[in-house]
Amino acid sequence: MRIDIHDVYKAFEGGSRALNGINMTIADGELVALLGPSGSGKTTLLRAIAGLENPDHGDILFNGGTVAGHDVRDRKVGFVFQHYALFKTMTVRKNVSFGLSILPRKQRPSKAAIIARADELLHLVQLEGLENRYPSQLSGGQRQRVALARALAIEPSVLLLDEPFGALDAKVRKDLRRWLRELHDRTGHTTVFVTHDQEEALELSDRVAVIHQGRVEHMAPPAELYGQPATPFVCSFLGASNQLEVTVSKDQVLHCGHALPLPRPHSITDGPHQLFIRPHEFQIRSVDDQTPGILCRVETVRLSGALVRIDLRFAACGTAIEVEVPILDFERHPWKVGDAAMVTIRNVRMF
Amino acid sequence: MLIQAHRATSIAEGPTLRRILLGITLIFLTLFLLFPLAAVFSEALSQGLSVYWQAINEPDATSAIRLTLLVTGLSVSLNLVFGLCASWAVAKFSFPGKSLLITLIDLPFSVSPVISGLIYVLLFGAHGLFGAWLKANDVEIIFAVPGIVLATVFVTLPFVARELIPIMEAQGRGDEEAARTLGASGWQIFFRVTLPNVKWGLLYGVLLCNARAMGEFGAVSVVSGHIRGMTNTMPLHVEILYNEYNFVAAFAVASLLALLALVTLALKALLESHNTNTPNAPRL
Repeated sequence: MRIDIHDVYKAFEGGSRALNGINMTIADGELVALLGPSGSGKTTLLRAIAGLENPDHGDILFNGGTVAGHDVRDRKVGFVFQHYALFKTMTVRKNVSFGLSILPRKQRPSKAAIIARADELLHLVQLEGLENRYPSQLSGGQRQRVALARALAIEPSVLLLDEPFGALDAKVRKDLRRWLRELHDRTGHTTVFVTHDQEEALELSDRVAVIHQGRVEHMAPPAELYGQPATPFVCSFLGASNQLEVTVSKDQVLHCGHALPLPRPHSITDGPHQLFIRPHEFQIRSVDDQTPGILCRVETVRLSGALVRIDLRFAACGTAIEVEVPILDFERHPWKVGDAAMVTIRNVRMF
Repeated sequence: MLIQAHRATSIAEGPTLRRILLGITLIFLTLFLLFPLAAVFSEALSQGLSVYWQAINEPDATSAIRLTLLVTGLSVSLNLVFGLCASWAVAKFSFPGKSLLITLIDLPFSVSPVISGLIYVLLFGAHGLFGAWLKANDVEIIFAVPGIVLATVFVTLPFVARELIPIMEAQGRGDEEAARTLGASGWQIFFRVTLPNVKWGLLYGVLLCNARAMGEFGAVSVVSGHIRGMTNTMPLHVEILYNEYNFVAAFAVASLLALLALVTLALKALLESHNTNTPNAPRL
């Protein structure tokens, strides 16, 4: 199902703006992440799509038809809550079959059919054998999957997940993430999930919407989001980056006397700008290499798995930068604190 | 670490200390609880079972028992409904004056029962605020059953609500929202999700409310008028018999009240063990 969100505003009691003019379109069968820092409005947006919050202004359309005024009950959304909200007085099977067992008599399948459907879903989420357990007897990952099966039982037109992996430990998180992607590819539901974990968003989704202060900063496929971020916020929020104050005049980018590369293609006006450089977009060489570059001094060297992080300072003005070097390069040239180095820049983004 | 070490030594010193503490507790329990309880039953049965049976089977006594059961039944039901409404409102919605409402629910706990009774005399008595109107319309509240029910409802008002509010607040709105997204109606949510979630707390509150409603003396005494066979509840009947030096009968009726209290306690203990010991049962 396709979801269109037009100019949605939502203020909370006390006047704080949770949603500040949201516009986006989610294609049928797409897997979209709403990514943002806490308090950015991403959960409120998800709840507005579900109908758990009513926008003050704007419209939400399912397959082109407005759902304004449609109660949560009628929207047929599968919603997985952050803390799962499993019914603790019911067994796993009762939880999963809840949505079917409350249907009006005429639409309700037979008892046997409901149980069969619940067990089929429990098979899909790989929880066979736990049908008669209570939620308190399950692990976090198992609860998560029960919540998912329960949401899928009503054959929702869209699946909404609020911080689906937030309460799980790192290992379970990774497994469930891969598993959710496979499930999505198999069932083809339009899926929207909220996360504050950029790795999760970039790895799992077809497109990521970065939400900041109740607005969509940038919505794009992960590679584009990372490579060509639309705003300074997206650039600094996604991955590490070095931020330099520069002055542009006549196609020259200047920072404390050094000429830095211009982004390509560009439409930069003259004047002060902010330059963003990812740690891996620097190259550092020995000073005797005769290549032009920025003279720097090594401040600290930290080993972190396959990468080595080196903090440097510009010799001319003391600007601090962080550079990432693959461990193989580092082994060829083991930098030490106090070494002089020539730094060149391969790629930049400017705002 | 320091605290743990300290606790370890105090446990090591334990046996003497433990015996002293346990001894004091037992002496208190025996003196103030077991002796009086035993005295009630021994006095009630001091002239044999047939006298005991006569004392609780005579018309004024049976009428008092019936009235107590009626008043208890009515006030517990009313407070069940009120408690559910109030705790639902407090726990699941935010509105101005919420903390004031919670304080008001506690009011009957802090007011002397005699005053609780007097409030109703002042409102509905012959010289009360609505007294003239009630008399003109031939409605009897004070010195009649409605007054007794009102006073009992007032005194026992906090029990169910107090028990439910923390439970409902702890549970939040998540379960109800989940049920809504799955298509449940308001009633379905209430009966299938909210009520099962709080049922043990609700039962517990009802039991406490019940115990207090049966035993209430002060407030009821003010509004009842002590008319034998008409507006006498069990606690009032005990007092009348006692004042007439009819000790055996007084203690016989009192023993019934004590029995009801013991049954309530047993049920409460059962509820608590059910909550903590059954592995399959959901925890509160």
